[in-house]
Amino acid sequence: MNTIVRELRIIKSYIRLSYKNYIQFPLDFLMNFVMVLFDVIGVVLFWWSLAELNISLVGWTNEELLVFVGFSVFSEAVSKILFGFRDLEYFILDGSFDKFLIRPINPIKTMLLEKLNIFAIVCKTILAIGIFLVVGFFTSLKLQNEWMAVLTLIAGTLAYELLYGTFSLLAFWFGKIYYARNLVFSFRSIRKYPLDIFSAPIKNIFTFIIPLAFIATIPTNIILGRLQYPTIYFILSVVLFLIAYTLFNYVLKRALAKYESTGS
Amino acid sequence: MSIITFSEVSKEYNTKTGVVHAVTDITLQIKEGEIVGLVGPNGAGKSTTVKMLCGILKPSKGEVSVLGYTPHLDRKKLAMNIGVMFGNRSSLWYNIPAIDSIRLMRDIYGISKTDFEERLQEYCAILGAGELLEKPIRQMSLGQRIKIELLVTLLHNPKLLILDEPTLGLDIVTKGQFREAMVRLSQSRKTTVVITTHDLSDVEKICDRVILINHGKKILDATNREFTHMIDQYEVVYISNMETSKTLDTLCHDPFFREKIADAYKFVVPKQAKREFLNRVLYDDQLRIRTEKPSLEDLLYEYYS
Repeated sequence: MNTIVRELRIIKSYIRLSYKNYIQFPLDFLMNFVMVLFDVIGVVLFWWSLAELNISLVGWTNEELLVFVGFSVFSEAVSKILFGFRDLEYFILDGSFDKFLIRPINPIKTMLLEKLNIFAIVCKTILAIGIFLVVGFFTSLKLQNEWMAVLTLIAGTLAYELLYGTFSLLAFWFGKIYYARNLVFSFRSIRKYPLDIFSAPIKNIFTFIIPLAFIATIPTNIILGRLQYPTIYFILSVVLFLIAYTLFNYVLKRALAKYESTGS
Repeated sequence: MSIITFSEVSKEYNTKTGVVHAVTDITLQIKEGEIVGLVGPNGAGKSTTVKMLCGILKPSKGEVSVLGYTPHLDRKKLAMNIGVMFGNRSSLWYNIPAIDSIRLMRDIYGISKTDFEERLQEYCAILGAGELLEKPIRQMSLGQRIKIELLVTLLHNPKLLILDEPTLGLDIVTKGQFREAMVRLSQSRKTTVVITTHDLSDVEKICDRVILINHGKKILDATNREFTHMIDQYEVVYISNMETSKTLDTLCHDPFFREKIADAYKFVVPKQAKREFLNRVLYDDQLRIRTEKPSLEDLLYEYYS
């Protein structure tokens, strides 16, 4: 119990620091907000333009696509929790990873918390809620299994980010892996589109090997009641998360033993 | 009682050019309450030794025990009991007031609010950091930042304090305050301190014991008393006006010659050889000679090469 309280207190403390850090520079803070807003407006405009041109995706109405965009934005908010994986290689290369190893908490957790962009997480979550309010009040869609859909999204997104994190850990062996990682995860942008527009084999790859479909496509299908057995997909997302988590920890243990702590 | 035990510890790195032996067969013990200076030239293996002490690095060979823990296996438990400060690696948040970074450490180490307030007051008084708490780190001088770094390192009352180059870049006044704080802490709390430094005056002024490492090996391990005895065996001789003297060529190649400082030539001479050395130069009446007690730096110079 004490450990949980302490962990929660540490997370709260980092969130407070992240927030304080952002508001130190008001102009930067405002621009950050504008950037997040532009990002979402860009996605909405893209789908709206397609609709205006009468280009439709097989099996998706405009209202359903709005739900998809809402989930897509929310998954980005969840992704931001593990944003710090991006910078792991820099901490390793210049030896500053040391500072995470001298504290009595998990070094990766400390690194992720230190790089936490609480502002982007909150903004994107609010925007996603806004989109769902629009769906609720201005469309005729009947939503169902809401919590199952949201939990599937969270598990799927975290599983995907943990795979990204596991790849980032290779920096302990190879040093700079920026371009290799970008190449391997170049399909990341596909998550912005409903994956059932692809043929079955590709769809299966993005569902069972690289869990991209669990990020937004499957949660949207669950909430719209388009899946026959939604619970199976929910369980699958949790299993994928557990596999990714176990793999990450396995590699992390070996990576830490490999750490050479450059410089002094 | 030994706080730290190193038994034949080695650390090797595999590089593209082959195996680098960063530390080779180091054996040492450090007792509770000791202030130990770990000195040596750049790349000697000091930082590698310190990193094995706090569990950042796993030794390639040998055994390390710190406060009864094996550092690389019990890193988290050990971290609760030690304070580590890297002079050139900050653990502070640059853009926000120092107090926020300090509060973060309170939560990481699970310090109660009452203890936190008491310790904060105590350490602020020792370090003279009270007025810095509301100041963002980026607006601080290096000396002020080091004070806050030290404050966050001390907040959980560690039994062992490991400081890697803590006085790097500090002016003499701040260095003095830092040293004073170290001595006060060690005396009041019996905190064991391991300090790596290039500045031998740090070691001379605060350490009970000096361990010199070079090429990854322990070259010298001596207490202050032993150093005082060693210091008594040597004398520093400054000779000036040598440019106009015929003895210049001979003396510059003398084994006791150390360096040229301004217009004087410095020699570190063992007392037993002093008479013979002076006899060699005294026949030249143009020379001016001045002698003084050697510093620790004068004594350790030869071990650095």
